Amino acid sequence: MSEDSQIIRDLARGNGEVLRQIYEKYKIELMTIATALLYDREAAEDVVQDVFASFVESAGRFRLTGSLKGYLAVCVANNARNRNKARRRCNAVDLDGADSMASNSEGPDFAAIFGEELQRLAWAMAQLPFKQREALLLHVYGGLKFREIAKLSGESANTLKGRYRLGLDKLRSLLNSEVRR
Amino acid sequence: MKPAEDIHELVKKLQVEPSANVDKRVHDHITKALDDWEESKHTSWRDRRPRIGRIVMRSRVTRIAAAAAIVVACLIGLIFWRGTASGIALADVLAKLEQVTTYSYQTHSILTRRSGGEERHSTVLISQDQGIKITLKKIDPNGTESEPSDTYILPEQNRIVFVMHEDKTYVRVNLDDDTELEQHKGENNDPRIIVEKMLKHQHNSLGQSVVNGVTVEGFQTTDPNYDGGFMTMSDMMGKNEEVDIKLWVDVKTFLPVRLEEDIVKDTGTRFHEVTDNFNWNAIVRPDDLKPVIPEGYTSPVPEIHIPVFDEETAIKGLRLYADAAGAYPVDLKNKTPIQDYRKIPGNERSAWESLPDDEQSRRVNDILMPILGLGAFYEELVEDKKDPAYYGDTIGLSDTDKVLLRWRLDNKQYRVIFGDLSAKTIASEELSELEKR
Repeated sequence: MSEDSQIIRDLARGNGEVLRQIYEKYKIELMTIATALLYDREAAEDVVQDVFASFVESAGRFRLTGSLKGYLAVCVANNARNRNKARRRCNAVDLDGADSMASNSEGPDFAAIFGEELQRLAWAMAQLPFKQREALLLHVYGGLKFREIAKLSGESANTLKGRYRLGLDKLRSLLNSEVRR
Repeated sequence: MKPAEDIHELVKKLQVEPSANVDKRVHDHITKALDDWEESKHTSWRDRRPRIGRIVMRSRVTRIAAAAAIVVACLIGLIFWRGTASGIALADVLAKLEQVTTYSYQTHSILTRRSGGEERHSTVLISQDQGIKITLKKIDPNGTESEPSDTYILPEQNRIVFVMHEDKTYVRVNLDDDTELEQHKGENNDPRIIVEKMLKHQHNSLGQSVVNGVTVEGFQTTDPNYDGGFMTMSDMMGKNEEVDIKLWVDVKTFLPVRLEEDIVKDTGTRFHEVTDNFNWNAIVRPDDLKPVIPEGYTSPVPEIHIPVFDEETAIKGLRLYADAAGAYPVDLKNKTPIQDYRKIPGNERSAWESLPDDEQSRRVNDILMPILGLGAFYEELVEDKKDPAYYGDTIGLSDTDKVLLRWRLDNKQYRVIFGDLSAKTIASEELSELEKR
């Protein structure tokens, strides 16, 4: 039995304290995914808090069908996507329909969020459309297979794979061009 | 050019830690939830209602009408579900719905199984004060509608009445546990509690569209853990593999216009339902929700009783299971006992379906209900945080003095059911010794 399965089993048996264990185990990964999707630390913290609040509320009935980390990662992505849509509506920044952060001339402070060393990567990822960034993060950082993401998000695995490939190609191109500069 | 693996490794280096403030807020939330669980001595009426559905669903006599009850529960739940990031907040929809005391709607359902399928059409009338009436018709492959069946859900009487016009039969289901239901009467048909459940799951906006000339805002959830009425009720048909629920809400009135549900179970069973023709603030006359049983109709069983989910039912369920299987259920979680019981040769659903209706009904009341009650009792112990433990995977019928099931009564005492199905209250300190046996 996997560690996560044991945790969920303990939870079902009434040991609610394992909720703290789950939060501590996955908080950095979930916070990173939320931050890399929203490029707004405060909003990302709200996402992580919301997702855990929902998870805590439904914990007694939770049924693990895949990986717990994957489930939580998709919840974070869904929540971040909703916030991203709301933000776009409010700010009307995305006039041409592309939902990358590239059009934001001010831009987030990548170094402040991710550190000096990774600011170039963070900048490059911010140039990707949200959905490509989401597919890339869930697959690479969340460790989810495309069919797992598909099952949890309701989108087709092929669509997600396509987004991932496009995102990866663009990221590779951006990073290489940065290296050459 | 960087290979994909390099980029993967680079992406994995990204790390952002939540602030101490967020850590505190999450841990505070967990603390509060744990406290609430501790205080929650009883689950809500809505938590119990699905069990009624599961129980009656096993009887062929009541299967059709029970399916109608599922439809109601589904709709009560799903039409109030809330989404985010939309022009309309579903909280506003909820606020609006709280002002509606009577309403009706229609549902068209298609159920597809490996062994075949069924198509149904139902009309539902709900009065917050008086109860619910569902009229359901089956539709054959030629499009011909069957004689209807009527289901009356009467919370004030703790009773459900099914009237099957095709068979000229009726069934009354009484809920034995009056005390438990009494405290939940005030909540009955109150959508707020159900909405709170819906809100726990991820959902997204579908934007605006037009349904029957009405401008609507759409909301969708695909979370397989979503446990709205329908999915909870249909849990015995398998676990959710795919879930796609879409709710369309009138942007002017904030009330639902159309609900679409697609659910695929791991058993291969697929549900597709569309609910529309909502009539908000429908006129309900006193007789509309009064059960009508035409003269000459008979009941194949005197009454169906939903057992109290207590120790007595649990012991009876364990005994019945052991009599049939020669061993105790390996697990009491979820529906394991009843699912495993159904795998015992001679007890499969197909085997029972060939029995006369009255014999089926007797077995439902005398056998299935206690076994279902056993699982429900254990679920309640878990939900009530009674520190339950069950050892059916290692304890057999000959282990007469060993602990089979135990749960906490209070800080100092535990209740124990032994391998011989005797029960005893013991001090907490005795438990560890007993469990070492």
